[in-house]
Amino acid sequence: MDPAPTPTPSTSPAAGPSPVPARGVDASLYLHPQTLARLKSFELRAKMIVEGVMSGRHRSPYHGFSVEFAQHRPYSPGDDLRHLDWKVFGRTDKLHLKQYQQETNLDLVCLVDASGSMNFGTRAFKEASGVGVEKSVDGRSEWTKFDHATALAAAISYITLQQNDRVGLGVFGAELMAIINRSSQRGTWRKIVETLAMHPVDQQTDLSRVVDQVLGQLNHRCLIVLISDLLTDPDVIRAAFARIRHRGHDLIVFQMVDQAERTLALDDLVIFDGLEGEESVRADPADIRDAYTAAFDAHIARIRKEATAFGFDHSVVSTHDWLGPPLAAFIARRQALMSRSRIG
Amino acid sequence: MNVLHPTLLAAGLAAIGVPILIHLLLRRRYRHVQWAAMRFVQVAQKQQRRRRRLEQILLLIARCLLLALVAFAVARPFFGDDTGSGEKTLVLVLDDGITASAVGDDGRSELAGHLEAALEQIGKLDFQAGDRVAVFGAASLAPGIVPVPTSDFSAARAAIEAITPTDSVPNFPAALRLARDAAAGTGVRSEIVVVSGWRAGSLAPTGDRASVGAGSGEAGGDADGTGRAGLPSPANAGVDQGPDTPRGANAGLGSGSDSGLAGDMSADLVLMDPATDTRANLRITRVEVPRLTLLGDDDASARRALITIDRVGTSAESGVGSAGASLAGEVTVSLVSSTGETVSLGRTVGFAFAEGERETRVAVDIPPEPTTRGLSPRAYALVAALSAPAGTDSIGSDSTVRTALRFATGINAGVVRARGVSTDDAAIRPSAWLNAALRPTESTPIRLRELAPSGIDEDALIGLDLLAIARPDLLTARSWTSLGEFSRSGGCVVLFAPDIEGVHPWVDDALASLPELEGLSREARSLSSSRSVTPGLGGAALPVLNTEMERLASSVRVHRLLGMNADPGSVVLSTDAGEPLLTRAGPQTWVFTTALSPDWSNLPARPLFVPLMQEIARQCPEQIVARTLTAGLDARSPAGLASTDGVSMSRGLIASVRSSRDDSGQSTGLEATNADVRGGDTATLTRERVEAALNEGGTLEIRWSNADGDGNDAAPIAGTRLGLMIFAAALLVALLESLIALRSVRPRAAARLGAAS
Repeated sequence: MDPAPTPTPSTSPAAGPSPVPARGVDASLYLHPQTLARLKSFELRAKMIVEGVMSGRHRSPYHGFSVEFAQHRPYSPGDDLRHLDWKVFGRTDKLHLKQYQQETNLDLVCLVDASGSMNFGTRAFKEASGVGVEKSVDGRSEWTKFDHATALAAAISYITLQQNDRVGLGVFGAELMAIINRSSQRGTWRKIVETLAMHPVDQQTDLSRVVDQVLGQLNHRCLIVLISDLLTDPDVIRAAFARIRHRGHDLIVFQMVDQAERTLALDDLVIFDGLEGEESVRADPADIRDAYTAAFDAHIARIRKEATAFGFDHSVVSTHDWLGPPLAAFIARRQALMSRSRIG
Repeated sequence: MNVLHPTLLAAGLAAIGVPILIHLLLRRRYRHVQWAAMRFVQVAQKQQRRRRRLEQILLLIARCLLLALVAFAVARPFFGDDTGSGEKTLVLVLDDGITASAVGDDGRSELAGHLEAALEQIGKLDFQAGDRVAVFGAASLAPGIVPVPTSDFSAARAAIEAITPTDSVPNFPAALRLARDAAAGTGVRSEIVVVSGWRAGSLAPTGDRASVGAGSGEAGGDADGTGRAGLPSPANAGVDQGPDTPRGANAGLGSGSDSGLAGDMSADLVLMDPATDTRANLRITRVEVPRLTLLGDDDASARRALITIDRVGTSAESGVGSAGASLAGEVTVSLVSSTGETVSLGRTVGFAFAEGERETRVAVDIPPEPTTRGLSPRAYALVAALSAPAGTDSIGSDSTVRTALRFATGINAGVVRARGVSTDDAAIRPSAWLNAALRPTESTPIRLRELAPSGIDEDALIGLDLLAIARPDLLTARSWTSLGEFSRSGGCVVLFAPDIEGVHPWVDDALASLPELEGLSREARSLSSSRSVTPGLGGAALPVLNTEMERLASSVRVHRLLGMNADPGSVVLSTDAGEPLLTRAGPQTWVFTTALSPDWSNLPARPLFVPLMQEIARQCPEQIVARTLTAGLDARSPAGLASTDGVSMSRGLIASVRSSRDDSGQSTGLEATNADVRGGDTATLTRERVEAALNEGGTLEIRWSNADGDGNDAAPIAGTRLGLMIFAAALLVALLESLIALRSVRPRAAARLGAAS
């Protein structure tokens, strides 16, 4: 396995398809040393063995280079005779097949939500960035869901690239606003970081349209990582999940949530102004807190249910948590699943 | 409604603006927040908005109401006019009736407490401010104790201290009319304070008082001729009528039909609180004697008096009190002359109340007349006085009853002889029937004398107790004049319809001399069929015959009679069709509307006729004035005058035996005045009962005060109670506000705690 590409902090403007002027790129904002220290010990494994371009299009996913012996199993009629272990037959006069374990290439596509609702955050930027920066490049003092989403996307991309797997990126709002084709080449990481540096826009999410646009560009089965707050109609989300499953892709859903957003931690009487152009609402947070949190939790539960129903993983990521713990727990869970599915 | 502290009220009402201001200030605290999860905010807001708005409105109302109520309570509201400083007229109406003489365990009469309360009220007046006071007695009435409002408080105090209780029932309607008039004359803010213990006897009906003063001029005899002592029945007292509102003229001050008091009442009406302590009382409610005229030969049964005693003093509401235990005592009867001298030694009999018994009766023999002076009739008072253990009889004056009796050795009766010869030899002359009926018997020593129709003059009538006239058509105009004088001087006249056809012109002459015959028809009427006879409502006038009357009258038939419009209560006998046959037209005038002829009736030949005539004769001893009166009820002025508005210029408010006097001051006989025993009911009443009794129409605004007085005047006391009620209401509102606020704030506080943690 090739050594992982070293993240290169950059302050140069992003070059790429971003519709919004990029801000200064600083990978350390996304790959905080604590985060990387946690992730170092894990390997990202796909839940499903994705057919990689390096392994060819054969019937056995184990056919190709760098196969590792896994175990023997008794022969059954119909098995390929090429895998018979003749040495064992010579010693024991019994037919056994040799089974192998193969690391296949992984195509990863990160889809990062850049809609208006992602531009919400209550955590102090200085605390969340981990490098002591008081404000963001554009002057914000809050760590938004989009900040957290880009950090997560960068981390996943980085780890994937370290395994020489191909990584692609899509940034979307009402439609795909930027896309980076899958690649494992050097420089991909930089492109990704620069693309992620774009501002969220004042749009509503049209997940159905975005999924259609992404799926139209995927020729192989991929692992799609959807990073979004998913504050949209659950039925639309369900339809998107269904299309992804129908095309044979795997999906990991990271639902971004701000802690204050989830608990409605406001004391004063407020006028809620929507980030995606919704009508303002005047309310006493104390009055509506119970109903609000109930609706919020019900929405998350619904998303989780829909994802689980299609065999996808779903994880709620709070902007007030370090990326490490939820990501590490997620990868560990994935690795356990992979260990089971790796046995042919 | 007014308040004592309008400034506090204004400040409190102004404070209502505080919650409104807070509400407005809270509205300004909204701040804009950019929010991502608007879909959940909208869902939650939709669910909570309606409930929250309702809670906010209720909270605002509750807080405003709370402040308003507290402001009202602190301002000490009261009903009525302003009690602030300034010229004021106080009119005191004191209960000086018999009930106020009830003595408590401490030996102090209730009237003493009333006087103290009255003096205390005067003590609150301010001479410098021009305050004035007038005082009226609810029983003594006109002209009033201090009838004209005066600023001479010393004189008013002296007059009040001199008040003694009467033996009559207070007449609060009349007293309040006097007080109202006195207050209205001053033209300044005025207050009528009624000081009474408001026991049941204080509110006994007094409806017939005003009319009695003018109508009691008849000479001799008891008031109703029933042979009883003429005492008003305590059963008539409204408080004995059960839980219903007391009835009678003492009730209904507010009713327009009675006095119109409410409509004209401009002064505040303040009543002292009802007494709450029970005071046991014994009273003689009735003395029944067979005949009020006793003849020398009367047997023992005619000389036996039946005395009814009851005991009162329990709470009219609870029914508990002193009437439960057994009790024994004695009744002593004696004869008292018109000078107050006891002329016959008393006779004593015991009486006893069983446990729970409220009424008992004893019989006692009337003592014999001490001296007999020939045929000269004498009048005495039969005085029955009870004595009982201490503490059981709080009112003394209703424990003695005086009954006017007349003693005579015989009756002098005259019969007007018919002139000429009867056209029917077989027929008995009418005068012969009378001669037969009035023939002396052992039990009725009648001395009979015949008079010629033309010989009836003043000289001929001297010495007669009774004149029976079977042929009034034969009397001359001069005879009728003399007959009128005879009647007015106490002589008894018994008239029969004459047996003549057609018009009866003599009726006009009779009416000129005997006005009580008004209503007698001038034309005889033949009945289509003979009518039977039944006792009328006036049968009680002949008590001895009363029980036998119906049986004796059943055989009488009437074929013809003179019509007569008479008061049903005066009709002793009537036909089965209700036509009067025998009427007691006046105390001394008896009228038969049928003639002593078989063509008219078979009455003279029936067994009823003789005892009927003899009993009538016994009601008519010559010119003996011996009356039994009731204090207050039968009072009249010395000159027979009655004031306007039904308020009698009263005398005879104190129970006594004395000589009655005519207008010239000459003694005319004996007058026995008794306490009005209805006032002896010492049962306590509640405020509600008193208000119901006094304010039947519900239009009078009554305030209550405390006779024991804590130094506050009536208005603050009323205001304190009203204020307490408002405070209680404020507490309820505060509780309600707390519940709403708790319901509203609790989830918010919990949410904040959760957010903080």
